[in-house]
Amino acid sequence: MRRPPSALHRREHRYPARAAEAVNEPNGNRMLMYETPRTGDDATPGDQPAASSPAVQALAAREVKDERVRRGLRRVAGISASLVGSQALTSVLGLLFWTLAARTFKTSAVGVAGAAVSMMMLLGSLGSLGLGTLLIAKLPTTDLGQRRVLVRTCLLAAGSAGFLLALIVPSIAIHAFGADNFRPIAGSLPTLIGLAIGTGLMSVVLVLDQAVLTIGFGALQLERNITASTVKIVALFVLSQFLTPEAGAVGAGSSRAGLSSGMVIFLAWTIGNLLSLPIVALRTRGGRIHQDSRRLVQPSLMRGLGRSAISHHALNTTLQAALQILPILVTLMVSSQENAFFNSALMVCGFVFALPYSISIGLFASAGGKESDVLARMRLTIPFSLVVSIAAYLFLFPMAGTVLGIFGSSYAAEGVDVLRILALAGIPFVIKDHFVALRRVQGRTTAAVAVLSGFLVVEVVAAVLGASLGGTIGLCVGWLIVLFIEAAILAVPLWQGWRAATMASDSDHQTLDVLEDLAGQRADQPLSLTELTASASSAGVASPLLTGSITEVTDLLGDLDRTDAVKQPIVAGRPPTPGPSATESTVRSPSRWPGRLTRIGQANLFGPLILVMSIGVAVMAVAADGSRSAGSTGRYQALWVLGQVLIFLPAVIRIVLSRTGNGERTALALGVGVMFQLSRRMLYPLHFSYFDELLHATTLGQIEQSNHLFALNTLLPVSGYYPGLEVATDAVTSVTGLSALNAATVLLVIARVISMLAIIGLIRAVSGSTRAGAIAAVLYLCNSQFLFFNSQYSYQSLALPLAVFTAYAFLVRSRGSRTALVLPLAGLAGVTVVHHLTAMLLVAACATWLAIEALIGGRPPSPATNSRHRRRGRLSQLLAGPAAPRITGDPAADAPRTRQTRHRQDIVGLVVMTVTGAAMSVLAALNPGNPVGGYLRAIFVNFGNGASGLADGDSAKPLFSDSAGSGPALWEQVLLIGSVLIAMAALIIALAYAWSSLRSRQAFGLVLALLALVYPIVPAGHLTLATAEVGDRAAGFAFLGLAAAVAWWLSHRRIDWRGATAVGVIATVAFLGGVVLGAGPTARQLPGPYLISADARSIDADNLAAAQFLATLPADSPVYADRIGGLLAAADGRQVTVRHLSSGIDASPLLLNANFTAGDVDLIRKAGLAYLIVDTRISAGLPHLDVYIETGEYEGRTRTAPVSPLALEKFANVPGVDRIYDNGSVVIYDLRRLSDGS
Amino acid sequence: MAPDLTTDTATRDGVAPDLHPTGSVLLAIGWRAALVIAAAAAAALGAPAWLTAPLTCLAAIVVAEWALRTRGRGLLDAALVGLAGIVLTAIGLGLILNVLPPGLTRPMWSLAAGLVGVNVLLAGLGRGASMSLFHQAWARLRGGSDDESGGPPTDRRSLFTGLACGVLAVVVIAGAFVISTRSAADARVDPLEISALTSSSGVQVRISSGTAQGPFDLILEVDAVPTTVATGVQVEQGIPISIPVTIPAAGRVLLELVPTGSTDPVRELIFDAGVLTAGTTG
Repeated sequence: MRRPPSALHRREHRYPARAAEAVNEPNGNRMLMYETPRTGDDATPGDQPAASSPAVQALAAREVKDERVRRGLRRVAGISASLVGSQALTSVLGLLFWTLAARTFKTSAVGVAGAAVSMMMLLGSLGSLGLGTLLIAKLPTTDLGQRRVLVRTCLLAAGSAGFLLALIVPSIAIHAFGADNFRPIAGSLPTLIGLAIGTGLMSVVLVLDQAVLTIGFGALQLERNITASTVKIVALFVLSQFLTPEAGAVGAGSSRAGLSSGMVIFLAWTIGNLLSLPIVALRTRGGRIHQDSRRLVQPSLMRGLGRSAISHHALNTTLQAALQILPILVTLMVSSQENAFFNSALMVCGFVFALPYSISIGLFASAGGKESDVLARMRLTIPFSLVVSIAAYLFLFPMAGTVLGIFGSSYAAEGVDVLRILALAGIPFVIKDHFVALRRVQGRTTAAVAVLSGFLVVEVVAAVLGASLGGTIGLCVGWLIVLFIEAAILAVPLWQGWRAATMASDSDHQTLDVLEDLAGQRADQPLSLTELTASASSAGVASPLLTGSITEVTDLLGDLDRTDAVKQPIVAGRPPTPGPSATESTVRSPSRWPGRLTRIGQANLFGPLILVMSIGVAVMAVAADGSRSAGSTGRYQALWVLGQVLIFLPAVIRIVLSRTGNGERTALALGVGVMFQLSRRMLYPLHFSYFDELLHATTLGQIEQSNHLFALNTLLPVSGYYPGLEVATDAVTSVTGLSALNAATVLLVIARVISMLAIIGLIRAVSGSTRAGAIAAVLYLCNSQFLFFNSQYSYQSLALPLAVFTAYAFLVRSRGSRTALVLPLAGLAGVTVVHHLTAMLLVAACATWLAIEALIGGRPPSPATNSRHRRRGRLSQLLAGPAAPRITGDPAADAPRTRQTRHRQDIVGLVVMTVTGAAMSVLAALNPGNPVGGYLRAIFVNFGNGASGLADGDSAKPLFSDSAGSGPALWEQVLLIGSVLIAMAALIIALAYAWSSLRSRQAFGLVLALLALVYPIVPAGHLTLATAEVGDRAAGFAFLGLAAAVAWWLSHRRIDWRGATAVGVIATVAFLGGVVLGAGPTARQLPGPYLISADARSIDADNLAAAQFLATLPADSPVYADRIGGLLAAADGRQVTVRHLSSGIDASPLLLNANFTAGDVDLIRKAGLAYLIVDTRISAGLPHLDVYIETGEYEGRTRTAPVSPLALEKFANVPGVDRIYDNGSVVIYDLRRLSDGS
Repeated sequence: MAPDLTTDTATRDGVAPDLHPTGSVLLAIGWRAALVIAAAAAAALGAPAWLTAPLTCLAAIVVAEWALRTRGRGLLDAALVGLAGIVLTAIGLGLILNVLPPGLTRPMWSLAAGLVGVNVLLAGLGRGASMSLFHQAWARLRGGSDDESGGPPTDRRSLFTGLACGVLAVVVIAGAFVISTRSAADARVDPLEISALTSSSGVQVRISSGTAQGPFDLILEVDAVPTTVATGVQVEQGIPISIPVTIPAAGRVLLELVPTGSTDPVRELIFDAGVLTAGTTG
């Protein structure tokens, strides 16, 4: 708590004479006369003057401190007034300058000048290199004798940088990128050099303006700006008379020199800047007497400042970036006309925003690098700035129209709401700017840049979202919401800092009381400060006076020279070991970069990284949005990939790092999985859109309609007999009331969480390392089926997680307990009900595990393992790593008897699992009507035929091309090949893992390694059409082993940032390439215009409208349609789509044969077709996914040209057939009379 | 020092030795059971999703937490077994409901889920009070843990940063959902459709479009003789127009939607009362 002022008065009353020793300095500042106790031989208590008593010192210290706060506030006010005044006056004079230019020169010349000045401002700002802000920080601590040379050196550096930038950037723009619009300002040598000189000067004055703030010449900045603005107006007037082409001979001379009229205006601006510099030299000439070097510049003074300058520069740029990006966003997303209104409103708001910014700069500049001063002054500057910002807003709200009327009536009409919203931003800016001031003075600019950069991204994302939803107003609202959230977040460190300062202050007051009391008790016998310190310590007083660092003590006592302070006896009063403050001070030192990075690295970064991931999801949403409206162009493809990288790469790096906490690792792995699952909803958020999704949506619809299971789904008959996914979805819809799509999304997210946690738990159980588990989980995402196939609404998406869970539950079961196998068996049963193939593979895995366990599990680990391991060479160690530990961490497990018991328990458990699992699969297959046997047989026979055909020399499917002749772009092919090569390289690690597991008698590890060795099927499967599906499906299983092996290898290594980044980049390539392998080109992953037989890209408003019409017809009527039309007819239209797979009738000639034949009539009658759905667009090209309708369709194996349009129109002329629906793309025929034979 | 809550021993230590249900245990079971019953009732009565969804989620979480708090294998295991258990229970319940006459209806699901929830709670009557998983999670977060599933202690600043970032992440994701949904809805513009529904009273021709279109003429062409059924048909966005049309019982009739002033139909329906003969097939 702050001490009431009466306390001070009381003390002053008690010690009037001593308090009165505070005297006035000649310059008006009060200064305290005091002496510190001496400990030398010549110093005896009796020699001490009364004023040197510690109590008086403490009193005086507080006097000085209070005075410093007052004095500091005056400086803040002075600097802020100077900055605000500068901005206001230069704006007015700038208006005058441009008005004069507009009235004197042609519009085109003014346009050229405007562009040149804008470029000069931009490049000048970049060229300043942050040295202005750096000087604010450094000058107060720079020796007086070196200050001027340091400033000059910085000015030279900034000027040179600005000059060079202005030479290089426009030249590149013109000559490399053909930006001919820049030719008038930099096309000829004279104009280019003129631009470079002007820009260099601009960099110089930008640095100078900030430097003069900190050396106590706040008004000097104002003076210089007024001088520059006035001179440039005069110069413009003079030049307009003599140097324009219209001005006779002299003007002609300027033309010969290559100067256009526009550059004459620019020249006037530069002259203004140039002639303002002598003012500064003149007003600061007094400082020359302190100069101890006659050198003009001294580059060595800049040594070590580069990083700090860059940091300040980045902070400045980050602060300004949003205001510079927003107008561009308005232009891009709304219109350039809207931007005119927006820009005007923003310009007006600039005056509102200028105040908190100026105050924060003033705060920083006046603090002289002392954090305590900034915090003390913030108590006044924050409320003051808030009040002024609110007052400005209250003024602008009713006056918005009037103010904007200056620009024109249309501005007043259209921009008023924008201005009213934008002006509110002044309030959060107060907090944001103060936060920046605090961080600057703390020397934590890099941390501030990191924080503000993150916020900047969120601001831009919110603005983009807002703009897409509500135009300019939406953009302003979105940006403003984030600004207020930022303010709320950034207020916390300000509050904490203020609170800490207050507590320190209270502590000081407490110290003063103790010192007073002690001094009062022993007034006749003054104590040394050391004694007082010890006494105060024993009284339980903690204060920087007693325990703080030297800096803090000197801060408290006033403007002591630090060198002297070191000599004070107070040093002797400090504890012999460095106190916490000293330690913290050391850690916070700006020069301790590695320490700070270490601290950041050791912190839990889950929060920031989950924010980055969410931004990745938002970027994917923006990509999908743009792709819907403008087609999946390169820009949106790049955004889509960027979103994936944002989700994946940072998390992988963090998880792989050795020093990351396990809790954070687990959370991050979970976060990545869930974020990718959520990203699916960004593509098609309104309906099920993929082939398998629509199949299962049909089954779900059947359950909802009939309230019972095991109905026939004609599109995929087997799915109705494995309804676990649909049952769980139905449960969610029933007990939550959510729609089917939302319930499916919830269920898939749950499945994803189970999947990630189960992999982490499983690998942890095998390896004994959570790090290995998290690495395996995140590497598992590299499988080609992860992002699309295994995250869609399909039974495998739930079955795989449950299968991994089953293995986990078996591994961690309580051996010996009667209920040990309940959970694994429940998981196995669940998998059996969800997906046939996964259940069978799980049983097969159990059988393999059983066999391996029976063969090697009972034997002790190879006795040679350890000794051989020690003898291994570096390469083999690198490959194999240390032997994996046993399943449990129980040390007793190594005992032979325990091992035998465990072996027996595992054997029995695996026998039960295998037998029960097999029985359950058989039972499910025996369910009447279940076609699983034939279904799987067909798949594997097809696979076998494809593989044997390939072996016999049949031509392989063309690589990088689908059946329509389109394929991935070159960069996608590179990623794909990279992904396969990385996975193949990982197989070497899998072999090492297998060897290690074998030697350590770890049966399940060997099962995982064997699973990894299945991987070659994945890329090889893509060589033929017949094997592609099996190859794709195998990825979900093979990658479990592959990820486990690589995780095992990585988890035994110490990996720093460099290593983690390398792993992250490699994994990202594998991930991105895997996505292309599994889901096709990025252009097809994104939504966009209709494509023929291309899964989700074939679903559009036209065929959805046709499906909706079908829903108005009698339900469960047999219909026939192409691949997607049939799916939609069943899922949305509630009809029964006839397919060869379920009926044995190949009705494809109805759609694909150009002639109407008697065979067609037979097919219609045999299938009892009621309606025929014809999408006339399919004749425009070949199908992307091999078939128009289904495998084995009419002329499917020999097709080289698109289906004939005649085939799609033939029913228009068939007697007895009505066309009952037409939407331009899809027509529907009523075949009922033909089918009935009537 | 934070308790080690990751091992079996630690959790078992946290369990009170008294196996008789204490007042606190009964209270804990009581409010959970009340929540489960409320959620089941809300679902059975068809309450809106904004009420039933959070209520059901809450009930599922507290029941699963109660069931798993003494499992003693850590938080990861608890979350995993809890979620998988819920899914497996739902599948099992579905199979059971399927053999009951009403089948998988909403009331039956609600009843079954409520019964399972209450039974799970009652199964915990015999055990003593123990630290909840939420407390364990909080203790681990604040106190840190040296074991494999834990990490260093989390200070207040990190907690605050994590929380703030989490809130921002939720906001960003919600924004992404909104932008995605709006964009997909905007992109889906229904085409100009014409359809015919035959009923006992005749044929109703329905014209609709996702955008305002027109004017059109509706022309009936019988044996190549056109007759205008309606003229100046203006289709408003999303508002279908129904026009009754009398179709001759015999012959081939074309019903064409033609832009006013044009002769090229943009949509066409066909009514053919002819009979298929052998000569009409190729």
